[in-house]
Amino acid sequence: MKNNNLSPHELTADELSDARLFTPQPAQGAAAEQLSRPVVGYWKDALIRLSRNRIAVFALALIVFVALVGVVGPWFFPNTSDGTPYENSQNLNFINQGPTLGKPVLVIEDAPQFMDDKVDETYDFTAPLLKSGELTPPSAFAVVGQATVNGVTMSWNPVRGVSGYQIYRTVVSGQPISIEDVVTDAGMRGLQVATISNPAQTTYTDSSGLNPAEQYIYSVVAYVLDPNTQEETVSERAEALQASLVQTISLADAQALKADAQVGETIRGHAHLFGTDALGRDILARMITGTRIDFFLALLVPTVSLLIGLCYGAISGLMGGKVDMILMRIVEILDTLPELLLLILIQVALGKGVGSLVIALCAFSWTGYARVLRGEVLRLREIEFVHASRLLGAPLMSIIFRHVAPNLLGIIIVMWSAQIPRIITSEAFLSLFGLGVEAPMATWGTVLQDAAAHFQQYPAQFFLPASILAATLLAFYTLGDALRDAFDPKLRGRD
Amino acid sequence: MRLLRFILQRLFLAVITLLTLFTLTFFLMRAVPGDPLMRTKEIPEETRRNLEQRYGLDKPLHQQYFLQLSRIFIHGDFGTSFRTVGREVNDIIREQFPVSAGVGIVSVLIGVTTGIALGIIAALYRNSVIDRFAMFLCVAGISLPSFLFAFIFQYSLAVYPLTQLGFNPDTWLRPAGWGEPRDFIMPSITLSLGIIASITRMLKSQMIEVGFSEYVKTAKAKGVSLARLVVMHQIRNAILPIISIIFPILVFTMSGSLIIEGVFGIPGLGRAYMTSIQNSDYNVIMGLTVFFGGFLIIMNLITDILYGVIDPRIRVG
Amino acid sequence: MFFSKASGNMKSVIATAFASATLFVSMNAQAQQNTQADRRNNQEVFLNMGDEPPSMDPNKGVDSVSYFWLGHLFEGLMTTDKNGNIVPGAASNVAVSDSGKTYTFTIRPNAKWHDGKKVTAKDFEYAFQRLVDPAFASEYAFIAETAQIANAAEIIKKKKPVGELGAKATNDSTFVVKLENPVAFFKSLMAFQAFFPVRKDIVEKNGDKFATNVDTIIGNGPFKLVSWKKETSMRMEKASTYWNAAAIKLRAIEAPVMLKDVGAAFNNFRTGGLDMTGLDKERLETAQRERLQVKTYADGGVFFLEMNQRSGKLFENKKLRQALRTAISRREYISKVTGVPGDKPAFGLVPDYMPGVNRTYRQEAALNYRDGDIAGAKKLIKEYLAETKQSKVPPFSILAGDSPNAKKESEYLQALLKNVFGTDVKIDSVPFKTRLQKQRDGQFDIVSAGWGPDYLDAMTFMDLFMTTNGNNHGGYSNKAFDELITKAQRSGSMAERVKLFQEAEKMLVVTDSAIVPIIQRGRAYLLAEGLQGVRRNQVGQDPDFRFASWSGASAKK
Repeated sequence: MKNNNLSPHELTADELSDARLFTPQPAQGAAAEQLSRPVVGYWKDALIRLSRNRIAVFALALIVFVALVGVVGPWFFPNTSDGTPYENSQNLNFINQGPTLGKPVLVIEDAPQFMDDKVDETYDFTAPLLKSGELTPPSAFAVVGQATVNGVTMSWNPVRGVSGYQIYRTVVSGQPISIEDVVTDAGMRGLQVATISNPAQTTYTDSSGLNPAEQYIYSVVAYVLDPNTQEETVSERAEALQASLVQTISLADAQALKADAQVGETIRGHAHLFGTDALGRDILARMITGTRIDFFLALLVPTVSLLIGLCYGAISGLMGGKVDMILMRIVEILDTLPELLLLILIQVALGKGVGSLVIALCAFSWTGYARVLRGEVLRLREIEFVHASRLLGAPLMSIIFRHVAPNLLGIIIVMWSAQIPRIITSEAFLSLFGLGVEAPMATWGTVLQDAAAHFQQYPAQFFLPASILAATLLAFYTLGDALRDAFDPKLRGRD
Repeated sequence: MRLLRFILQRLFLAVITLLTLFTLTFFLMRAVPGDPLMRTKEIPEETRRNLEQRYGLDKPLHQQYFLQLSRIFIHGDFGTSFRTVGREVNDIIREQFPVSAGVGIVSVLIGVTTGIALGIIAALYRNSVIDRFAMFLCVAGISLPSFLFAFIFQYSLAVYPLTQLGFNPDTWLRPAGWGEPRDFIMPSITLSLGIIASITRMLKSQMIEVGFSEYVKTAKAKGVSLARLVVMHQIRNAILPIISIIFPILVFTMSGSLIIEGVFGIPGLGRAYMTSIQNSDYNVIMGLTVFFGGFLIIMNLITDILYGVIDPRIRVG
Repeated sequence: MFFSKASGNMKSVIATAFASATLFVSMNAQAQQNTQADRRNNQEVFLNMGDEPPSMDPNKGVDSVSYFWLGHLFEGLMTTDKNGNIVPGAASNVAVSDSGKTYTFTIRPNAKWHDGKKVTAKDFEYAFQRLVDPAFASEYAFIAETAQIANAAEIIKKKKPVGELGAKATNDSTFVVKLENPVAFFKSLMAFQAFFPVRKDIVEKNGDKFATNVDTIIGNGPFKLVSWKKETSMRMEKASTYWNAAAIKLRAIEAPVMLKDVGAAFNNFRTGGLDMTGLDKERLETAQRERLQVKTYADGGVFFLEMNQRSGKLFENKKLRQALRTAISRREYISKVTGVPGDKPAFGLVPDYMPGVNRTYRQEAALNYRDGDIAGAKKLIKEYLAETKQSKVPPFSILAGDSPNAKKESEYLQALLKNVFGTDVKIDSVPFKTRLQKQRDGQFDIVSAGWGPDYLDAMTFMDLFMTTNGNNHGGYSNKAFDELITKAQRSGSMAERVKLFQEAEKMLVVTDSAIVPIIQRGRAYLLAEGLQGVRRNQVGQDPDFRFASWSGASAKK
């Protein structure tokens, strides 16, 4: 045998004869087998490789952070005046607001007081109706008191000889518009908010769907209705005014923020980092409380349906033949049964709640796993080690879990992490069928669904929660990929 | 010969599967609250009885079952809709399925080609900008609702060019409508996003796994060119699981999407299916379910045969 | 708006980017002349009805989409003019007997079907008989009972043969209808689609295929159907055979798309693909910022909370029902929750537009009470608790639909009622048919329900809450109420009926608080500028384009 330690040049005879060059090692016995480095098992190895992947560590940290905020966050929610949990507390003075650190708000009575419409008692109803050319709009059109988001009250002097008035409203933003346009051009007056059929009436309060971020131009015209033909004639010109709205807060809520708040005072309102929804609830708070349920579902449902799908797919693939045929036909039937009918039925049978939600979500996801995994098993079962194991008489379940499953780990982790986003979107979809969480409880899915209905009008309401969702999902994906790499021994030393 | 036997056997099983599907759906429909004659405004009792008689809903359940069974499986007649008076389910399928199928096939074509391309690039250039971008696209494609994309495309591809850039409405894409080749474009792109997302992700992971397998290493060592290595060795093996998802995706996409049809005004089957379920329109639900069932069975059969063709290691049957 | 406007520079870049794609697109697009300017010049209108009409058979049509088409394609004995007044239609003259029980219609000599045949009294006789025929089983058969046409009720119940219906053609031009009791609004009923004429020869020739395609729909109205692509588009054009064709200005009305999605229809309108489309609250401001013409109208529906008063149910107790009525603030509900300008508060069940003797019913029979009174409601609940010796109101649930709006509205109610009743309130949100089934079976505590009128008289709302009415889901039963309504049904005097209705309505809403009316629904829609004479109706075809026209031949743009 050649000694590898020898240098490449030829040894001289002298050197060869010098016995001192070679000292025999004493026999070391068991010590030769001693591992001088620490033992790294499969799991530990995976963990080490995972921790070397910086992006994966960051993703994991993000997931843990989001989960922690979900668990701990609600402890820090402000108290509400009536004791409802903050995330469910509605503030109708503050609906559909964009993100804010606290706007100035006017303190008002707890329930907004609506003025009764005033009527001119001296109005002369006997005056003959005016002809179309003679019609003039009412004069002295003005805002009464403070225009708030709860209502804009306007008043005018009535016109003799008319059937009533029409009030229009348009927004200042958008295509350029001026008061003069509204006065002269009927096409610019915008939306008709009221028809006042009593010509003696002198005030009107508009309160419908007001947006405090907007300035409005109101206009009023007089009209005459021919009693015989019901033909309507409207005055050509209008009277117009511009109003900007003040945001309000109820006294009770104000005092919760500032103990000595008084009606009529302007204080700094609540901060809503993500804004508020259509019922004035804080969106961030709803997202935070929703985290718990969503994480629970996102981790549980894919795992359960994966396990079912894996067993089913593996049995089908390994047994093959008739069993495979029948099992796959059952999947076919389940796949084509009208999903919506099944959902309705599950709802009728199990009612509302997290339990029926899990069942419904699993019921519709495991067949997908089963089909894909069966395909993979069909491929794997022809591989030698499975053959060998079979020949040695290993039971089916042991083949599945010892030989098949580990080889499917990559695809399983990818599918598992890919299902998480679907869970969150379908959780919201199921709530439409009475299968979701109980209202007003929030989940990410329901928050997004509520906002999606008007994402063009209030984009922040949708895109802020959506970006949190997307970031979390991206983290799950990245982590999933990293896990797959880490757990697959074949990919060792490749990063 | 073996393949032929396999196919015949599967076709025989298909009949049994369809019968089971029929039976389950029949009782499922009737177990769900509500019936076709239930309206927001209740139909007066006498008229209701007259209507039940007219539609044969007053017969005992087993009679209704066998009547419908023989009508569908012997005469091939799915009956008429309870909601749209005089509309035959066979006509609904004949007229509206090609529409959904057309849009579906185009979007699967777009989705699969783009998805495969992105998946391969993302796998070959891991952790590159393209990889990250593809990943982001996957997350967005799966997690954001499709109506969002539908509206974004409708606005940016049709409304904006037409109103702000002064494009000719006769030739440019219209926001909604059906009947011309241009009407395929926006719905197909929208529908393809989800497909791109699933395929990219799956293919990428498969490519990576295959990339470390012995035969790829061997091929590399032998000096096979990169192109040949990727195409002949990596892709061919990585694509197998993709096939198992492409056909379900195809069936799913061809059956029509409620949202896409609603936003782009497409007379497809997605709308018909949803409306039928909302209205407990028994004949339409049954017709569409059995039709899709048959369609899925055929597609699954093709999948299984293709498995054998692409991967000779797998024996069908 | 979600997309900010690009600057001029940006625009040209985008324009160039798009231009290359244009080439491809324009290759396969056929040149189609349908821009809004072309339509103005041709007096054509494009609109979106949202859906396929479920039935184009006048005797069968049950929804507003069907009625829109049928109302333009057919014309009843009576019809409405451009201001909504009831005027003779296919009949040139109507004579009423002194007893108010016999109506004699003279068919217009120049009334013609679209295929040129004369409209005869036989066509009406056939349609009326078909309507009540039990074998045909029209869902609107009951309207013949409402009209009190002699023997209608017995025929529907199969107690008399169809031939005995009290509506007969004495010759080709005379049609006589005999009533069991005088009906104050009979003339307006004769404008209703269920009473449109139907051609026997076409029905018999086509059987089940009648009114399912263009060839089998032949009307007698101002427009004729020229194309119907299922689920895709429909088009009707002015009929030269119509007796009053000179008054019809529009040449064609077309639904080029059937878009259920409001946002999609809005985008289509913005690009000039539609001349009219519905608008939801979410897009109101966007539309206004773009200075599009936004209009509102009352769609006729009244929405109310129905409480389950069956024995053993929580709201069997009158105090609790009154507490609910007292607590809800309609003003707040309308301005903050529904938020559609055009929604009006409903204190009574009968909406504002229903006619009375001289003015509207509501003006003649005012109904007002204090609402939004939380303290008052809590007081009533305290009384309830003292009476029943309980410390807390038992929990209850709100049955709700599955739409986003229904969800928002029920969550608002939930928070309010939780506070007022001091108990746990659940929301049972279920799919459409499940909700109907639960309503019918009485498996609810509170449900938000709505009702749209079938005809222009307060009766269409008031008879809902008679003990035997199938739509009385709450199970309200009060003999005195039933008697008042029965009396009104038999009375031909409007003045007497207004009094009876007023008393009954007060009993229903205030004293018994069987229901809590909340809103008279308003809706917003977009209308192209220059399109005039479009009428929105609560009863009858809506929208009504018969007297519409484009003013000014050239486009504004």
